[in-house]
Amino acid sequence: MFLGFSVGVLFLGALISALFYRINSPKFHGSLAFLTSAVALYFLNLTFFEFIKAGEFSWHLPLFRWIRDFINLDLIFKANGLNLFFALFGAYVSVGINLYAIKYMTHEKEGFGRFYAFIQLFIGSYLGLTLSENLFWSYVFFELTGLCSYQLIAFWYQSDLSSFSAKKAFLMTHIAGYGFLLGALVFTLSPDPKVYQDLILAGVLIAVLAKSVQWPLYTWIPYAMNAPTPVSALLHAACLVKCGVYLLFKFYLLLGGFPEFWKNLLIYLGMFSSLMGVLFALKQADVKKLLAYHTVSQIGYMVSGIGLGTSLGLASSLFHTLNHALFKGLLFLVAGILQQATHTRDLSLMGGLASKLPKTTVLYLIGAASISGIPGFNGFVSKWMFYQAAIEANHPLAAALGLFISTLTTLSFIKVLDTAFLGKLDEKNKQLSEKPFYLMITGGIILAIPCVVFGLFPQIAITFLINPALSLLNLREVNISFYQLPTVLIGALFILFLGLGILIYFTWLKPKEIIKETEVFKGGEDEPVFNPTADDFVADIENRLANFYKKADPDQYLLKICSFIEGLILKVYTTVKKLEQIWSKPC
Amino acid sequence: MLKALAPFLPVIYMAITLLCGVFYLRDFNKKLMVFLCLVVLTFSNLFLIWGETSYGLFFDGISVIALLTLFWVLGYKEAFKILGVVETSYLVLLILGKTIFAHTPEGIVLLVIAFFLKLAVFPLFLWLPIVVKTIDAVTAGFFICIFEIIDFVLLWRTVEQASCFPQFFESLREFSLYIGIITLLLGAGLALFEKNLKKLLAYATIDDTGYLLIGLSLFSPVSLYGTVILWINHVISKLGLFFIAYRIEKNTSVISLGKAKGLAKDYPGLAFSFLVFALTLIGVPIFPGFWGKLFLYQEVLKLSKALFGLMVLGGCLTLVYFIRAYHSLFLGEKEPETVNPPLPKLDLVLVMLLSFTIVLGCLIIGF
Repeated sequence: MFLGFSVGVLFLGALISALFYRINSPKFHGSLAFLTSAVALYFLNLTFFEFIKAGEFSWHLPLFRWIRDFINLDLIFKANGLNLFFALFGAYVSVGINLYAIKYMTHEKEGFGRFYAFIQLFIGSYLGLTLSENLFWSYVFFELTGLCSYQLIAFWYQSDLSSFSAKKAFLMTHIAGYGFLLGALVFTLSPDPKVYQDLILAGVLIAVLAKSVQWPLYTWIPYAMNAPTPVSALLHAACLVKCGVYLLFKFYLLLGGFPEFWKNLLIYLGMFSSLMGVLFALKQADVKKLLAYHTVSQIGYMVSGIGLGTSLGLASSLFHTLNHALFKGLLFLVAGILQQATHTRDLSLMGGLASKLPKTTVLYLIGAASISGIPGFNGFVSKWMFYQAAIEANHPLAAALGLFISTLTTLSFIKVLDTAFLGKLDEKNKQLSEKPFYLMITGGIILAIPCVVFGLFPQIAITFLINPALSLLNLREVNISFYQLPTVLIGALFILFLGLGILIYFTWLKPKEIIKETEVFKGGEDEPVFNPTADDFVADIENRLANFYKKADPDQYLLKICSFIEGLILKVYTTVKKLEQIWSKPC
Repeated sequence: MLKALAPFLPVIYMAITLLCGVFYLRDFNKKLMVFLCLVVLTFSNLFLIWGETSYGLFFDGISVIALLTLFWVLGYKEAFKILGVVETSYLVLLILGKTIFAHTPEGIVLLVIAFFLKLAVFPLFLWLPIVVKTIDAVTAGFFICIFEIIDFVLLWRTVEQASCFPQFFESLREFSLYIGIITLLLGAGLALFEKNLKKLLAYATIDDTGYLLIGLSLFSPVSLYGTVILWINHVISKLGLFFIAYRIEKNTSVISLGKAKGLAKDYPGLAFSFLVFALTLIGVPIFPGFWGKLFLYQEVLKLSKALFGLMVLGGCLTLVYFIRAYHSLFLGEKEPETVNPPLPKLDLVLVMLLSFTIVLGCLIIGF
């Protein structure tokens, strides 16, 4: 019953927000959304504990009774390892982001009912998708998430850019979504779906490429950044883009694994998307667009991990899915704080913000270290698992590519650190205070804590969240260790020595002034050399990779295909127009 | 199934007449004549819906005269001429099919052609956009919706009659299926390039008729369920869209896409209604149109993957033209010179149609 409640409460919240749209209060609607998402998380936790205690169970709602003889459209939510994994992290992240949004949205003047109705509808639909056992309802929820994304991107509907961005996102994801419908219909109608597995997988893959922003259908996501930041964090970093990844796992379960061809395709398509994403991210000066391209890049690891087809490969994919939701959500929240503090998303117009926004800087560092795969943070563990799985599955090239992409990711986030947080503080930011952003920072902390906890103690996530999913997929459970040492011991040692270091600093080094702060030796260089802006980075990269950027954007090729189809239809249209004129003349 | 629907169709018909009647009584001249035409039209059409009688031809004739009179009274001379040609051809085919060739496959072919003509099915669709372009949006919505109800009922009955000739019935079904696919693609393709909102809705009607024809030609329980959902959904939503077109035309004097822009700021209710009607016609979950299309997709996929692909292509085109129209009319920066001062935000009529759509969706899921 709690399964149904967890989704139902969010739909109810959405309905209340929609009905009371005239109450133009960000606090009313924001608190309602926070409350409903927290209640949904609570119900899911109850479900999870029940699942741990008693195993799988489901909740059944008979629908469409009049047509049951021909097609089964009952709504069935099932608590199993895979469904609960995706649902739990989605609900958790949404709580943090909804808390953040309460403050963030106070900058707006209107549209709170609309905004929060769609936010709650989105979370409910995402949970519905991940919990649904009936493929038709999975499709319904899958498309509902897209519809919410469309409406939320168009939040500032009076802007031409928002309107265009929403249109592009909806058209690309909805059209590709027909692939999922094809897969679901063929799977349901075939007595033996294995016979048609190529057709099913082809359909599903198209839907996945668009929804989970993989090459070549990722081009809507940079435009989607014209939405309010909580939308970017919740939909375009944490949950919506994971719907495709969930579908791959779902069909892996339904088909009992993928054939060799599809596995190889997924491995290298994922890595290729990842490479493209990070290369485009490198040249971005807009902080949200930069993060959007990193979403493309990071989801590549997940897709590739599924393609590996081994326990460790799928575990790495699951773990990275969880981690990405946390650190990318966190990074977007930081980007939102930067945007509200400096009134710009352009990194070139920022600088030296660490001195004014120290807590935000710490949050950024946690997010950046996690995404870059720095040891001690969650991203490191899942990436390590991926490299190991790729080498074990005899795909060393994928491992090498993964490592190379991770290096470029680090470079990209060093650029952000250097240009936004370090260096010289801009004159107009001298009066900046972090105090107004405390609620937003609290939302960020909710996401930052697990980044560190799962980085130091990954076994918690592996044992309770990932292994149950692997068992469901008929794969052996995994256990992670570095240098034959249990991760719990490594984590404990890390905390012990970090604590020891801090103790030494405060009790001995600082009081005795052993460490002295001096001016940095510049070697006679001019100061601007030490204050590079994002533009300096971008110009350098753009110059070096000019040809690549010119030819690698898939939009130009997609547009050519669309223009070709349009040209054909135009010919028919022109002919019909002529016929219409002939027909209407005698009258 | 058609018999089971018999009590509901007159209610829907009456609702359409009442809703349009509100506009006619409020905004149009020659109210008495218009009222009389509507009464006669309703009277004759309800008889046609109710069941097959020996007076069918008589009521068909009365219905044609009443509609043409309505056009004449409202002063739509050009549309009157074109519709006159269409209705005369229709009556001739009907008389031939029901008298000289009665109860023969040839007679059924003549009747099917007559209904295809009225439903604006390929290749007999050219008249519809021309007529719609030259008349007001309320009248366009009214006559399109009543044609869709009456003539689709009559077509359904004719197809049922054809089942007495098994071999002919199979050929007719196959023929209708392909005609349905072509109609769907053609309607959607033409709507894609149409700038005039009323004409776009006319092409969208042709597009939707294609779906109805496909559902009818498959003639399985699931496809017929799907067809009924799409049919009712189409009538309600299309009428709603024509009402919206009427409001825009009346208040901005611009009905061309790309000229009026950013209307959502002044007319949020219209924008919301347009979006809901468009989404249900596109077949976006969880709107009623989705369930109808889902049933059809399932049945078509059982038959042929290629036809399924063509239907999906049609669905994609529908999505593109409706979303393009929505964005170009309602979203983006407002152009102040094209918009008059704001009017009532959401008409009661639109609220009723929106409620119908939602109730239909709930009924489908929970019934």
